[in-house]
Amino acid sequence: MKVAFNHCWQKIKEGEDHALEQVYKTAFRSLVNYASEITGQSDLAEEIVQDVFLKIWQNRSELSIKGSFKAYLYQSVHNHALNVIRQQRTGKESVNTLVPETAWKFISDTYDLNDYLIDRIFADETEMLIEQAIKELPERCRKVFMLSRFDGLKNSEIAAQLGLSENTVKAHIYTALQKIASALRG
Amino acid sequence: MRKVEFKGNDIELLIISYLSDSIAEGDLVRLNEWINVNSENRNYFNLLKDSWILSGSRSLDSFNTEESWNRFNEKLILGGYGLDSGFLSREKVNLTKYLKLAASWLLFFALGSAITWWISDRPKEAIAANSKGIIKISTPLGAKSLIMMPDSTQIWLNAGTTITYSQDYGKQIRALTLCGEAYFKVAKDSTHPFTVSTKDIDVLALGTSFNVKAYPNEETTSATLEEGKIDVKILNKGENYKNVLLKPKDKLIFHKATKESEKCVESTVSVVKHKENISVKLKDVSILSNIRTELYTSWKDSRWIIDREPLYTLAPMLERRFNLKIIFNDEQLKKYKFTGIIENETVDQILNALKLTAPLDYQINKDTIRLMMDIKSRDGKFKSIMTGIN
Repeated sequence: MKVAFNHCWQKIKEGEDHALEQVYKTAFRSLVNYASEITGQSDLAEEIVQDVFLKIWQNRSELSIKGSFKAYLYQSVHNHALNVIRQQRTGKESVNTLVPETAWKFISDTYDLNDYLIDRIFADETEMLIEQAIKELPERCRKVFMLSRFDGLKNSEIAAQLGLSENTVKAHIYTALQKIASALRG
Repeated sequence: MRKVEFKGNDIELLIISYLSDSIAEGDLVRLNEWINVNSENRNYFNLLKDSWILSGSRSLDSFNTEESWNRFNEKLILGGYGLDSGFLSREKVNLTKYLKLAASWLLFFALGSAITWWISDRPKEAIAANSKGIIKISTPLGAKSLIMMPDSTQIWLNAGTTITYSQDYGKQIRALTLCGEAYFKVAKDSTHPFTVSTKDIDVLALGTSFNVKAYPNEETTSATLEEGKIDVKILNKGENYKNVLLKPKDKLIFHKATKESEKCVESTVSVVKHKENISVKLKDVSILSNIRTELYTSWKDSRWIIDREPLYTLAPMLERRFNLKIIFNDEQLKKYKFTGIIENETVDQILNALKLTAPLDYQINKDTIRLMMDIKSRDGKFKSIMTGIN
């Protein structure tokens, strides 16, 4: 079922909470994945996404969104996530290696959101194309990629588990990403 | 496909390290420089990065969207996340079929330490602080409150309940005293232990959500655990005590020796260090496991779930909810049990519903309800039920 995001935004502005629910339930997983990607912390990701929805709901009468509501959601999550890691940077513990100043700058420079990417994130075909591409990978390559992407293992852990060198692990991941990239390009 | 072999300094190696794992700061700087050399480099990087992002849709299966939406709803009803939500405008909140609240919300800061919400046309709770820096919050009969502590712990206070805590709450420990009934959703913070003290039991929270019921005029004090872990100390005027660690869906019931006076008195109970226990008195304590926690915690919602509750214990619950007094003209009525769901019904509607399953009659006079046995019913249609009461 295609959810017309811009139409939902109109309804949300009018105070229809069903529209909010619909958008939330449709977009939640993708947004949370994205927030998780930027911050490197999945438990924080849900909070970040919920904060964004909260602000949208609370400010719906004053808020004016031109263009894609979907893109707005993504941009908001993007900015909020960056703020979160920036705050962590100044805190006592650094949570992961993405915390140093250079890293933070790098992320905000390179996590460039464009409509094309956003549309891809939501498109049904994307998931299917990617699943297919992963299925067609050579066995070891697929194994490595899945351990890395879906189980979140570090490269050193994968290397130890499968008896490979770290460079080989990275090579496999690289191959997998290339395959996915070409599958998405169609 | 050509076989890829990485040499030590390859850019691809850096990109993959960055995306899938971790990368040293020096390498990140190099990567950044490389990306900014020209648009070809940038596009190449984006291609791999986008593929990585897009392939992530299958991970994080631990997130259940429906549950997340329910959690989100609770936040909405609280009216804002965290303490910097500022002043809320009045608005109707009507979002889930489980928590129906048609009301105006007011945000109130009490001495900069707790945020409370209350329904504007109901009796309000009182908040006071004394010179020793002790803050006391009480809810009158007929009203419930939801408060948020400075550490984001949420506390639902049932009617006729008082909690106190010091201004130092959160500095080293998070301690409060309770007289009445409250449901706690404790914010995770293992560096600041959270304790609730009542007259007969102390509860140390190691996890998240639990209910404590400690009304002075009732025969029992109980603690019900929904999620996480709690450590309950049973106090006995100094000497012996017992520690019980509860797990989710456990309920601890402490049977008091005597009932005390009607209302929650000014609580001056402080957390006292106890001596090691010598002997253990277990007959005063029962522990039920694997219970339906919503039976004991649904009071905080406007929707109550009642399961085989004898009128004897249901009556005080109704008294608090409606701020009325219920008097039993016939002691026998106390034993009749009721099962059902109470949502927005008036007290008349509820009494009429009770009449369907018990031979009772009632009279309402201002704010007192008298319950009497309806002899004709008892000997008629309820004859068989009478014998089934234990």
